[in-house]
Amino acid sequence: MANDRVPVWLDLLLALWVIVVGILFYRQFLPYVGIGVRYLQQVLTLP
Amino acid sequence: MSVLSALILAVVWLSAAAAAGVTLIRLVGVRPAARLEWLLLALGLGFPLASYAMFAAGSAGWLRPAAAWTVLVILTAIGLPAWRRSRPGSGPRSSSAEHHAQSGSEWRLVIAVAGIVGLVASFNLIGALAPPTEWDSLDHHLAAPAYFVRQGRISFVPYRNWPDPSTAEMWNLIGLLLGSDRFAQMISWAMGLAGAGALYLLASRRASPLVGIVAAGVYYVAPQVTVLSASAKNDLTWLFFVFLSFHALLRWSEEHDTRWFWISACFTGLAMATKLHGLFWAVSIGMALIMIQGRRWMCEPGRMLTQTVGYALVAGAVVMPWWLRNLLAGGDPIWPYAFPWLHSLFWSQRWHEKYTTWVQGPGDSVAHYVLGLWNVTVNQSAWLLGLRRPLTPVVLAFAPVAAVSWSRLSASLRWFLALTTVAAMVYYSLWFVTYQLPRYLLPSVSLLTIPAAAAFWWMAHRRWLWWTATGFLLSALAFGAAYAAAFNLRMAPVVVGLQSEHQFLARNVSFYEDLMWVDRHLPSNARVLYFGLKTYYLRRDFLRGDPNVWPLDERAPTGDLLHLLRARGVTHIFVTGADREAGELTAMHRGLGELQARGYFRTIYVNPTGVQVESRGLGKSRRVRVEVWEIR
Repeated sequence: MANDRVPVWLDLLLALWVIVVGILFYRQFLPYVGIGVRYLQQVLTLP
Repeated sequence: MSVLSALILAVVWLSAAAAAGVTLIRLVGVRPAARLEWLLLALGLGFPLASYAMFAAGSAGWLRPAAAWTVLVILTAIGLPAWRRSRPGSGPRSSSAEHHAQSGSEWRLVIAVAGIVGLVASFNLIGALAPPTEWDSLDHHLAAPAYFVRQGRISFVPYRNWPDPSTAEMWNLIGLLLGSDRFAQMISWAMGLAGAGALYLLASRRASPLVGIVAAGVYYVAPQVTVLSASAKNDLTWLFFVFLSFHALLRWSEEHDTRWFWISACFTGLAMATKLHGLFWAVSIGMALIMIQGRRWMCEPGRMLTQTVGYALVAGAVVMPWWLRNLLAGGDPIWPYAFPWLHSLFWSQRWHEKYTTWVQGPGDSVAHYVLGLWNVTVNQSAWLLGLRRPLTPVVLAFAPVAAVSWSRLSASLRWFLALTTVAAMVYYSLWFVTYQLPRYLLPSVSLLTIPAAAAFWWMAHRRWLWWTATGFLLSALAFGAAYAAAFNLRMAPVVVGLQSEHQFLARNVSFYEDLMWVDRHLPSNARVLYFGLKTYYLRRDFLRGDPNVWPLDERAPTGDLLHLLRARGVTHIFVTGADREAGELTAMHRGLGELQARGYFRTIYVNPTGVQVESRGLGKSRRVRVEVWEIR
């Protein structure tokens, strides 16, 4: 793939975009963290 | 049948199908370029041979284990020349591949992606080896084949989803005839991997192996694929055909060998013969075909029209057995969705309106259309079950990067990505104006992993953006792996024998204990009126209480209902508190309640604490009253 020059501000913008998508995506699942922990405990305590 | 025996049978059947496919490839005369292409093409052509043979046998009323073994003999006989002859030759390799892994960091990333895919595949196999508990599998993907096995023939049954084209479900039928429902789930698991392979093939040949492995990895590790791998659903087989049809179409455009054109048409037909949404894919790939034909429409319009119509006719011929059966028995080839034009039998305006106004997404305005990818990624709770089965964030993250890097990509890669994106967008548009179930969007999302993967590598090669891009990709894959672990490991105890199947099913299938009571205590000639949808574990003859098959007027006297019940041979009624809450069943239940009050029914089973499962993954359920009535 050609990899020629791109303005630094555009690079920064792309990096910011990827990070923002990541934050917005993962924050949806924060309420599930507690459920996940309880669930893991349940799995680990099965006979 | 033991899990190991089922696993061996699945390997034997798939191998026989692939061998039969190799013979077909040789008969057609095309030359796949690499072993992976041989394998996937052979599987793609051999798999439906078994399905159609099973459909023919079942429609003729020959549904017994011998039929399944006969299919194996037929596949083996067709595939014998493939076993005997030397290994597949290799044709010219991809000439357009631009980028192979070169640097150490690229290799490490490729190994990490492959490792995560392997890990997720192992987790998914655990889920596939567990007893079936997935909703749609118990409702129709397994329930309908199980019903057909009991009846001894495949027939048109007017419960919603049952008459859908069933190329994948015919393999479920084979499994049930052999005595294993895990077989069906193993096939789904295998087709998930085959689909990832097909996506890799599609992308690696036109972009690069690096793009291919990232696209296939992102596809396979997605939670939706994890859930489907541990089910008896048809989606993963359908996606496999979708990817193969696109790959074959591009092969035709690259080599001008018309045999690839017809192979693509066959795979498009198989996509339609596997899932009704294959129709959307047919339109999407049709748009890609028109793009490939391009200016030739101006120079040779007649030839282009003939070509396009020919493609549609071949695809239509492949799906025709299913459509014809439905047309003859239900008055609608895609029963009941062509109701406005064909007035499908066993359906009514009321039900048509109910299902056409049934939407899952947050809206259908222009703004919603434009923000579709955003919404399905970071606003997933707007969909029913959206958060429980998340779609990958990789496509949304790298889509704008693809736009920025566009002018810096080679012309051939741009053309390939444009075709992919257009096909994905046409499909998305059709999805958007209908039900908007996120799972049905998988063809678009999966195809868009290719431009996303190309954009990822472009971004990763920009020195200090490497960590941002790879960090995001690996976090998304790790999220998928964690989801696969959480989803599947809860099934590990039952798979390894630490938990009994009964205990597992009682926790994961609604009213399992009550259904077991019915299976054990009702006479073998009983016919149960059942108001739920998940009938797989009901081992007695049954009639579902679907309102479209009980066309009762609300003002009809209860005597009519009693007459109808007797005329249809119903001997017992399975009622739960959950049924009575469903508004559309109220009229029927009111009639049944009156009949019971007048002594026409005898209550023979009561369970005030029946278990209705609300979420398998989250372990949520509620208690409702269950009763079984005997008609006097």
